[in-house]
Amino acid sequence: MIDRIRDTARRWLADGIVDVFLGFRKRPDGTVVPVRIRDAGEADGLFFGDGCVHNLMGLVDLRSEEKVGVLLKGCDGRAFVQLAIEGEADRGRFKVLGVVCPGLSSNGSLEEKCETCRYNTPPVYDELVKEDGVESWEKGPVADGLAEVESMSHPVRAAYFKNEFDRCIRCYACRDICPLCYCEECVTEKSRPQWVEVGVKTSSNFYWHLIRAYHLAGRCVACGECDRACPVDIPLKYLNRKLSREVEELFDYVPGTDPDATPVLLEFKEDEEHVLCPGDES
Amino acid sequence: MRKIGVFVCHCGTNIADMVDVEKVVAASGRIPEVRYAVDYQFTCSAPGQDQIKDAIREHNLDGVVVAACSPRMHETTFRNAVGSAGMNPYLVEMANIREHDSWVASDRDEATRKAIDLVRMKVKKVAKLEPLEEIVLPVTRRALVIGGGVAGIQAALDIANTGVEVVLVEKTPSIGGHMAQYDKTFPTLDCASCILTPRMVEAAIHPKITIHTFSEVVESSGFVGAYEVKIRKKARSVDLVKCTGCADCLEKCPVKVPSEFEAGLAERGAIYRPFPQAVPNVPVIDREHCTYFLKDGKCGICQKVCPTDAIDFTVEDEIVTEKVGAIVVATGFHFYDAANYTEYGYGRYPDVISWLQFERLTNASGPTSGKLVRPSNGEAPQTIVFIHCVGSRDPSKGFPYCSRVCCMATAKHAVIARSKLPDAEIFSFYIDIRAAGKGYEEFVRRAIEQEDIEFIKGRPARVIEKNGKLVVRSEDAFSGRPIEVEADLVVLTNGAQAQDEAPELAQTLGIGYDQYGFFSELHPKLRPVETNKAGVFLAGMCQGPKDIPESVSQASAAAAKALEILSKDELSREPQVAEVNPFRCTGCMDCMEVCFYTAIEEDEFMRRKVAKVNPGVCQGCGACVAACMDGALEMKIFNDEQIYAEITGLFAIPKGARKAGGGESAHG
Amino acid sequence: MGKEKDRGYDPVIVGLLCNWCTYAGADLAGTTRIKHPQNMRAIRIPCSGRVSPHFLFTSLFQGADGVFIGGCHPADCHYTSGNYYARRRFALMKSLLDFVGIEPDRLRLEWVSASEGDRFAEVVTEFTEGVKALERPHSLKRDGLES
Ligand SMILES: Cc1cc2nc3c(=O)[nH]c(=O)nc-3n(C[C@H](O)[C@H](O)[C@H](O)COP(=O)(O)OP(=O)(O)OC[C@H]3O[C@@H](n4cnc5c(N)ncnc54)[C@H](O)[C@@H]3O)c2cc1C
Ligand code: SF4
Ligand code: SF4
Ligand code: FES
Repeated sequence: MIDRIRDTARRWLADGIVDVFLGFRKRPDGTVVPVRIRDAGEADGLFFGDGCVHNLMGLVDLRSEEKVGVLLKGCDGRAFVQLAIEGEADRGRFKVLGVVCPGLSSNGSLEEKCETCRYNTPPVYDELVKEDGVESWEKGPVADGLAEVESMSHPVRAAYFKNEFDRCIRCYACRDICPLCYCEECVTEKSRPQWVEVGVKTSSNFYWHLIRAYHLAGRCVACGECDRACPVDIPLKYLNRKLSREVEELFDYVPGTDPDATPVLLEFKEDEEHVLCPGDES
Repeated sequence: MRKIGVFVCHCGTNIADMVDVEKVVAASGRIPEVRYAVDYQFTCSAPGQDQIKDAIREHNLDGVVVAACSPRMHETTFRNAVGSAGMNPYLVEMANIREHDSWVASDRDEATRKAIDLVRMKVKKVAKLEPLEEIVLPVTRRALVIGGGVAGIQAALDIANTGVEVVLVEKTPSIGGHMAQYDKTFPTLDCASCILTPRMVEAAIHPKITIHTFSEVVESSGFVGAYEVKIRKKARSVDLVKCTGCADCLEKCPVKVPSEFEAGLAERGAIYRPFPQAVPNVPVIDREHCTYFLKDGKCGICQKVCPTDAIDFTVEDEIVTEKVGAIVVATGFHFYDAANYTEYGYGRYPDVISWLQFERLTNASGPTSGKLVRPSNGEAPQTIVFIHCVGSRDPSKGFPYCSRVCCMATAKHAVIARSKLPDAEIFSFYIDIRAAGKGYEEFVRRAIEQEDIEFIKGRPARVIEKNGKLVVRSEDAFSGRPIEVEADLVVLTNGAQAQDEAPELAQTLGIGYDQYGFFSELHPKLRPVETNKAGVFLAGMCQGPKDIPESVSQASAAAAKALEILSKDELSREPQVAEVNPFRCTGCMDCMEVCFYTAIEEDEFMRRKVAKVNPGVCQGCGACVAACMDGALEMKIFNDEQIYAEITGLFAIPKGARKAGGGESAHG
Repeated sequence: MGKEKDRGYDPVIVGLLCNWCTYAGADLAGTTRIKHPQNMRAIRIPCSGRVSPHFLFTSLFQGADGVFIGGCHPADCHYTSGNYYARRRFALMKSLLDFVGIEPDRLRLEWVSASEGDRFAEVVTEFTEGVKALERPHSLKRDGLES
């Protein structure tokens, strides 16, 4: 498979189909890092396998006009589709080399985000590569690990999240790595009004994490990058998953899976009053 | 720091009885931004307003909070008042301490605390208000009327008679609409063409009216006061100027197709005019059926016989652009397809006819010159049955709504039938009779009592042909017994439905329509002829079933509404509109997606795509502001900063206030 | 603070009422003098579609014990579809807040028309009772979090 990845990247670059190719490289110490290559000769250094957890859509400059080739796993591919739906990624500017993802492991066990993965193949691609024996699949909702939090009483939940958010140092790594955070200027930087208070305080941290999660409602593709980036291990995925589940149950929408979908908050049905009282849909 | 004045009204005892006004004044005075606070018996009265004006001048105020009744009541009053004292009218807000407080509270302390909070919230909001100007839009003082039925003609004449130019667009070759097909009109039985034709001619020769027949609106852009509309003038193939209307060509055409105007009861050529009184009285060539077009230039007989050389096969569709300030839509209706009721045999039995066919069969200028006969054999029917509500009030097969004119039109038809056939037996099967209108009930009574028409309550189950007769089976709802009538002629009142292409036209114009395709009025009671699109108005059946008097009244109303715009060179409106901050905008166009009024368009800023709000179109709902994740949209008068100030103002209790025991709340 | 203290947990509720329906319905409750609990402080907004999550978050963090949003009944929105968008947005805001510790009884979106003065009083009473029944402030108030 790796040969096909290298060949394709080489071909695209050599033929001028793309100006730049985004993929992965394994460093001598064994760690895996994303790379941007512009020269067909560099294609030999590309790698795919365990450690390729990064969502390369998060590294694409959406404002540039360069032609981009990009290697996308299932989750990354959903980010691409979601960005396209939102008018941020112009399909014509991208050449997508899809990978049927075998699931990534670290230290012998499957990555957490791969355990809960539901789509191992990008919904759109120009070419697709896969390892023998690895097939494309889709799954319905999987256990999202929220039951524990949801079983807590409200004050206990609040205390739980207070404890988590207290650690936030407001480095915004989660935002910066998120492939779907692309505002010109983040709401945290808005001063009139100062919705999100500045400074590292529990209340403003809380606010920040809520608004971050809400902004991703119906958009998050579960690539797990925010979780991975957080230096203080705040379980950001819980908030995202909670809203993802809600969006799917209430609006039958799974972000980044249907290139013809309208973003879930830009659409409505006239007869969906039941969303106000989920549970009793009678 | 802003210098805000707070004016607390007693409203006689309406507020003062439940709210300790003095405490409210004292607490207001403790808010840092407040320069001046005072109370008055009736702040809305002339001396009350003077109190505000004097204070503005004396204390150099740059913001005002009036704590009194609902802003829905007096906001304009106070805007005008501060405006006349030289302050920008948009720097005033009202704290609603009457409807939302004194009138609904039961405890004086509680009501006072609430009033103090409400005032403080408004002070904080006012501190964030900015001076605004009314939005002024130039007006193109011309109108477009779409649809040349009785409603469209009326609207065009009403507007044109004030001296404003009107462009009237009609889809078919002639104006006149459905009314031109009728013989007489209920409830007066006056001759339809006698009242309609003169109006058609009046419109045609009116110096201020330009008529485009055989034309359709294909594109519309712009906004109230400044619409630009593209009209496709279909190739008529007959020159409107050269043609004298001699009609020599009509006879010679070898093609025969069913005439739409005669509801299929007669034929017309490929070159035809719908009816002899057509306006303009110039034929058109129906290219779909014309031999010349079907067989590559063979035929051309009409061209040969035309004495004025008016026929030209080479003309093509033409697009004309018209600039107008207001639009009246009057595209009418069409008929429910009676063939859907297979049990009545329409289309299978020649003597089962639609009510439009009945109109033509009794019309002096119709295919039988007004002789009421059975289409099957040309003989006069002895027994006639009318069946109401075919396609109406029948959710299972047709539409759930009532077509509204059928009961009356059927009574009219029955009376006409009686006058033509004094000895015939005439039955009318109905669900119930809806005859609410001036002279309507009397007319139906007359049909029953004087014209000997038998009204039977019941929806017939089927019509069967037997020995040359049509057997109508029904139940008589009053006796509960089955009833059978052997008829010679059965007339189905197949109700009205919206034009098939109504949704498409609605989308072109950006107006709303309901599940049936009727255009939606802005408010069912208070804004019955306006639409969601400012400057676009509705008249006649296109908005819902109605009779001629109603269509005409609505047309005059729409004309008046259009003239409200067209009577001025400029329009001014409240500046409550959204605005994009292009620095923050990422050009995702989410806002465009949620804007019902299509007020948002793409624009370019620093070589990036960004959104732009057209203040002429924006209605100020704020849906886009909440949709924009990027915080790039703002809304005048209700912007984020102002709402933030109002929310946080609730909790911003001034330092030392509680110690003063002034009644400020403890929350926050 | 003596006097205030006596009131114990006396919740304060932020109301965000659409100008055309619920705000007018609240006015009508006043005009017809229908007494109801006075814990809510209403803010007039053009349409329920104007409500952004910030309005809820800010209200709650700054000290509100509950937030009530009022709009026109479905199909009645003055701007046709604002309330439909509001409905979707609110459903998500509420579930998110619920997840991190805000009891669902503290948040409510209701449709109240301009003619439903009595219903306005009713739903506000019911909502206020619900917030009161929680017997204590929620845990996300700014003061509470910092302490
Ligand atoms: C059988 C019958 C009998 C009736 N008898 C009576 C009666 O006796 N008394 C009474 O008061 N009422 C009567 N009515 C009701 C009456 O017909 C209507 O009230 C009236 O015709 C409505 O006028 P209008 O101008 O709205 O529509 P229409 O008469 O339908 O005129 C609409 C016009 O718009 C044109 N048009 C349509 N679409 C477009 C487009 N996209 N672009 C441009 N032009 C377009 C059409 O060609 C037509 O000329 C009767 C109705 C029926 C069905
Ligand atoms: S929603 Fe906001 S960022 Fe997106 S186009 Fe509109 S204004 Fe710009
Ligand atoms: S405020 Fe409403 S009408 Fe104005 S641009 Fe935004 S969505 Fe459209
Ligand atoms: S105007 Fe009331 S909800 Fe939109």
